[in-house]
Amino acid sequence: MLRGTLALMTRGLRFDCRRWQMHALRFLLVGFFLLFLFIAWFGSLTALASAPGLSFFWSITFTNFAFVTLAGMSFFTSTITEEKEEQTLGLLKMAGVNPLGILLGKIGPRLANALLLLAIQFPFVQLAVTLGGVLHRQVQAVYITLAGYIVLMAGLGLIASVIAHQTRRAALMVSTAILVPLAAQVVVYGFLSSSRLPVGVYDIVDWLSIWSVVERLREVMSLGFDGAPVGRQFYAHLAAGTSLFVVSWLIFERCTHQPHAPTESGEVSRQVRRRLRFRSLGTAMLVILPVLLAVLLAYSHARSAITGIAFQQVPVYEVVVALCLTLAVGLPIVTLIVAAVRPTADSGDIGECWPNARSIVWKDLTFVSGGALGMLVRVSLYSLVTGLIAFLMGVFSGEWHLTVQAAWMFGIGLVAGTLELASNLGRSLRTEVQSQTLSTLTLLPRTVRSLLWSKVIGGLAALIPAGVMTLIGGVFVFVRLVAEARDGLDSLTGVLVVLMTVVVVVLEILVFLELTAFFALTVRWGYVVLALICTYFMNTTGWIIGVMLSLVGLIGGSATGGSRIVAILIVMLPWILAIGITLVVVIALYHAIESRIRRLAGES
Amino acid sequence: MNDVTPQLPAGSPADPDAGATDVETTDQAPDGSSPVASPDPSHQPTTEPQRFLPADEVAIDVRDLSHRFGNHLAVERVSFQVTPRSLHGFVGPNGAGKTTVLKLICTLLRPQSGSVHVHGKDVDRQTKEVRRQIGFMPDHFSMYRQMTVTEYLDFFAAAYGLNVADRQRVIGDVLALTDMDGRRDSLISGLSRGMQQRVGLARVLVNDPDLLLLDEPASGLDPRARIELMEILRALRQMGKTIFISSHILSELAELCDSVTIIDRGHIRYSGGMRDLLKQDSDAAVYRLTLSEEQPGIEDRLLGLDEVMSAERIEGSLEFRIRCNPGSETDNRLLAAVLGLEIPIESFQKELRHLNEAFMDLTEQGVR
Repeated sequence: MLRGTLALMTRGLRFDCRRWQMHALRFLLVGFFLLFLFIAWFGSLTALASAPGLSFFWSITFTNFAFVTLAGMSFFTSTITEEKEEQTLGLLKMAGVNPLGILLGKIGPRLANALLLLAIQFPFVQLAVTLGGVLHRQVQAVYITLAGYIVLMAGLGLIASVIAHQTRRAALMVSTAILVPLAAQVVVYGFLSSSRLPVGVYDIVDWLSIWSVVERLREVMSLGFDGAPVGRQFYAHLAAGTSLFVVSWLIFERCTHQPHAPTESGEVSRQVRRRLRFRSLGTAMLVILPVLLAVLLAYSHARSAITGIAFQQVPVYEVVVALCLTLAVGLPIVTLIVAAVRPTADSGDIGECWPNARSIVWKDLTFVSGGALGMLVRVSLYSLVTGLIAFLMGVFSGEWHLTVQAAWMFGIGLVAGTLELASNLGRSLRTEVQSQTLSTLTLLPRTVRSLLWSKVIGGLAALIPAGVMTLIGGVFVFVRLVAEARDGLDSLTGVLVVLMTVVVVVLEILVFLELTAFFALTVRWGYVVLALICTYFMNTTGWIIGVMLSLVGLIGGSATGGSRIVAILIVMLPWILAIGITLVVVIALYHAIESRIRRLAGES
Repeated sequence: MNDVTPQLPAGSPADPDAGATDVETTDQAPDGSSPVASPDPSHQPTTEPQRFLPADEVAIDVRDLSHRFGNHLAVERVSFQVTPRSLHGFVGPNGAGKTTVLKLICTLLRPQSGSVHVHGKDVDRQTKEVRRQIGFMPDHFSMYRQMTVTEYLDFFAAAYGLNVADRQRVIGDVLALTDMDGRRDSLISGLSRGMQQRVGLARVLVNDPDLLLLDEPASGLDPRARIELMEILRALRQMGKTIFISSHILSELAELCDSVTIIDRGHIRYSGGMRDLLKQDSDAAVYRLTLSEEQPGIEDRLLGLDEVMSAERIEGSLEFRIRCNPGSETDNRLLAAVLGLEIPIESFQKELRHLNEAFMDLTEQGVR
């Protein structure tokens, strides 16, 4: 067993050495450290920060946390799935390597890589102690916390990659396992101050906080920390990581004894596709709209009649919840009825595809974004989320505000929509590379640019539910934002800042999407995560430069006595620069993607 | 909108022999010489000026085409022509530059020097028009495995801008031609290799291209699937399509193709009619005569004929190998002379070289 494990470990380490992505990630991490060091130095120089060491250490700690979380979603999730995808798992078994050997040999190099990446930082981070504001004990505690977190992430990634057939699915499983408790925690903490919160919830939150590395990091980084460097979180994560490894070992044979037959799942989705068309969904939407209108008009009256409370006293959030529930539950039911009633065309599937350039939109929408079923699920999901926000706000906070509801909707819609679009776009391009269909596609009588745009539109079309949610929230948020900006600054500057913010956010989303597309054409897995890291790096760098420019501008402005125009320019300069630089990056990436597609099509 | 109307073999107006005849005449340059031939592999490719037909009179016109990948020169000053409605073989060892030339013709790569014209249209400048006229089948399965056969074909037909009525007709036709009618609702992932190859061919046909570029279409297929594929290609030629096929399976190419281009190490070694290539070397024409019964002194009688240089019996048989001086009338004169001997003849045929032999003679040993 040991021979097989060692062979696998050696291979894993060799592969990692050869992968440029790994080296790029390390360089990026080093880049972050240098940047944070520079900020700390700048802070100490300008006497802006009272404890530059602490701010330096904070930045490094949370960058590490983000890296480990993202690694859990990508780096560890391909541990076993990459062998499944390459169809080499059977060969490993035939070579006499037992499941334990395979698991150890596969996860070992990745875990060692991640832990070593953490370990090599340790001597350099001691600089934070020298700069002031941090104790040795805090540094040790943070790195032990993160080591435990890495073990947990490795365990999660491993079990997901044993269960799932594809890296994508494994990544989705781990992301859900990470994000759902985190989101739950955010929601609970958000309403924690409310006295109406049930007592049991506090216990759950306490229990969750043991598992929450964020809570442990907050505790360690607090002033006057004198706890043990090894906390409960470390033991909990170590135990959880080890347990997940053992479970992976126990279920390994069961999950991998039979190669995945894509035909079976394909047959099911084919049947669903045949029955559930976009036309059925469209018809169902038309049917559900009057029902929603009826709920909007009749709910308060019905509630008043049943409970006896005055019509005017029926809380507004209840109407919102009722509308959301009607849409979330009603739409699937109506769609299923329409699909069942609607006759199937004699010509089979011919004619379903949209003509000309829209054919690619149809293909991606149907086969990458889940088609009508995916759209239905998304409508229900986003409706439920909107209803949940209204419900939590109404029940636990005691009062419901349209602007707060809108802000939540806008925030969730924007983040979820961006991630969804990146995922769709990345997957649609990755699928073309994997199926070796780029050559066939580029031979259609249209340009690569038009092909790329069709893919973007295909991804956008799947965003209709998220888009509607963001738009509704966005309108109210924008009105409020402009009003607040006018109050805070003078009216012209305020409006300009809001506009600039919107432009920068849109451009950053574009950069993120383009990076995802580029990485999807370059690496086999983890393209969204890689794009996220790069965007984060770019954003942080930009933010720091912006702050510095503002400081320099303010100093310069006050020295010259500064007119109103100079003051506006000082406020605007970082924004204008940010827009200019991001725009250049957007254009450069666009051309890089185009040329990459051309190259891959010529090579395939 | 394309008017796509693939005709089935039964309704094909094309004369089955027309393509071959065309090739026979047009493979020869106007002065009667073979367009490109460099039989001796030790020699560099011919550098003497070749005479080509105008680009708009041929299906494919490749002139002085060179392409480099980094430091590696994949093809160097390649020139050849393919006549319309012919089945043209493109053969060469691994790494000879076949796929590169195919990709240059089908617009996947841009020519770095030289020119490529498809039906008179420059692939570099009139890319869109060229793409409408060609159908390219790569050497790998370029398929969306999660689609059904009809969904796959419907997608490509829609992408070429066909309306729903046309799509139904065309998809029906191509499925019938490729004999995939019974599997139209099957998922592509569940199809065998041979069937996937048929779907690939059906996809190539949905936009009714004049020129089909097929890269190793028979690679990895079992003998039955290979034979069936060749039948489909014959049917397509009868429909008037020009087929440019790159393949390693020389025996089938010899049977199938009207003309052939042999490429080796990025250089064209031969381009011309298949029969010209398969003819014996130029110093003698070889015939095989089989008698139905033994004739005493037959060797001497054969040697006595004016046309015959040598006649040898194939050991233990009634077969004779007769070598004659080559010439345009040799076939008829020798046949007349043999008939004049009044011997019981079972068969009389001209002996052609096998394509394998020609290929081995024209290409160099070793891999690139």
